[in-house]
Amino acid sequence: MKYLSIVFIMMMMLSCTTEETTIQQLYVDSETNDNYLMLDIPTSVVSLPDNASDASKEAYKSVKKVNLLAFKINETNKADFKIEKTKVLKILKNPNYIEMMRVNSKGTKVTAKYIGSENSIDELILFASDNEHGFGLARVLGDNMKPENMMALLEDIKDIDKNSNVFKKLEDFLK
Amino acid sequence: MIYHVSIKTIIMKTINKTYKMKTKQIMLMLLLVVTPLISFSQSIFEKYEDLDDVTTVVVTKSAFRLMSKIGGDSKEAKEYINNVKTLDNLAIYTTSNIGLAEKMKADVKKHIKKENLSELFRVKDKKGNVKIYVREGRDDDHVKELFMFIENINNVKIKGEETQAVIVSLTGDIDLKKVGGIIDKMNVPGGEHLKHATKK
Repeated sequence: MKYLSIVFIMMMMLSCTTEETTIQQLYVDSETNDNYLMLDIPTSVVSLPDNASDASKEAYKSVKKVNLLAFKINETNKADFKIEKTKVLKILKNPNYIEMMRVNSKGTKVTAKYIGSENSIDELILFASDNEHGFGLARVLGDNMKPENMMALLEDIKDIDKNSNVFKKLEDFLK
Repeated sequence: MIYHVSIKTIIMKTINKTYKMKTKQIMLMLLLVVTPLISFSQSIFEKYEDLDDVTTVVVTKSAFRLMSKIGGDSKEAKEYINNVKTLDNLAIYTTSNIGLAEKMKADVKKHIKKENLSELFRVKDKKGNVKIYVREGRDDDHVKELFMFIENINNVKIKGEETQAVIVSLTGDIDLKKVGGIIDKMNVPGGEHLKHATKK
């Protein structure tokens, strides 16, 4: 019994670590896989107006970046798409990701999740997939992002630097 | 020999110690492992989420809790916050496939029986048959589930296709007098009927 419990704990630890490596693995994979687009969008692409509220300034500081991972389907990579999609779905099953919403419409699936608590979010995740076009995983990474401040931030953002490099890359990928 | 025994006791002691220490952790881990399983096995309608012919929207408790954080400070907002906080799950399923609509109807019957829902009222008009059910809550004004099924729908199009059936299930500690305001804000299909449930 004692040994069993120790073995059990070891297995738990093992399963945790493998899960951890999978998300890393996904990023490593994406670097060598031409079907993938990986983009880090810095917060500098949006600027706050001078009269922005304190709440939105605080929220702006709490966001580090938006990380985007996208897979586009073409004639040759459908099998690859399935493998990669299954990988992402498996990662997102981790109970650390708290589900907020899921939508399924005409084969397009969207899931919204977050890591952290309802008062302080560390990561916001949006995953959308479609068996014709591909999938996209957007992660808003930050530290202590407060939901009430984030709303204020969304209201205050007016300027988005559309000429930024990241948008060009995204546009090229979607072509 | 003595040496041997002492090593044995040391090993036993360490094992005992780790065992005691780990029991709590094991319990915690078990809880962590089992809890999501429980929350994932609740609805017989979940299988429809994998079908292309069914449009589904599921909003979870954590989303409602988040929504309650961003409501604002006005008196109206505070009331909205209090009502949203107590909601657990909103699930909407619609289909334009006649076969699936029949299947849904069968599952609705099962659900009503299993969850012991009682009919609140029904409306039958040109647009379709609407039935609204509730699961009893802590008092007359509060229900644990507000459930709606619409079938035999005529000429109601969502995204260009004629809808055949709609299922809406809202669970939590629902105040029937106040849920109307929330339904209004969420743009639920058939919401006007659900709102009717609130006029007691």
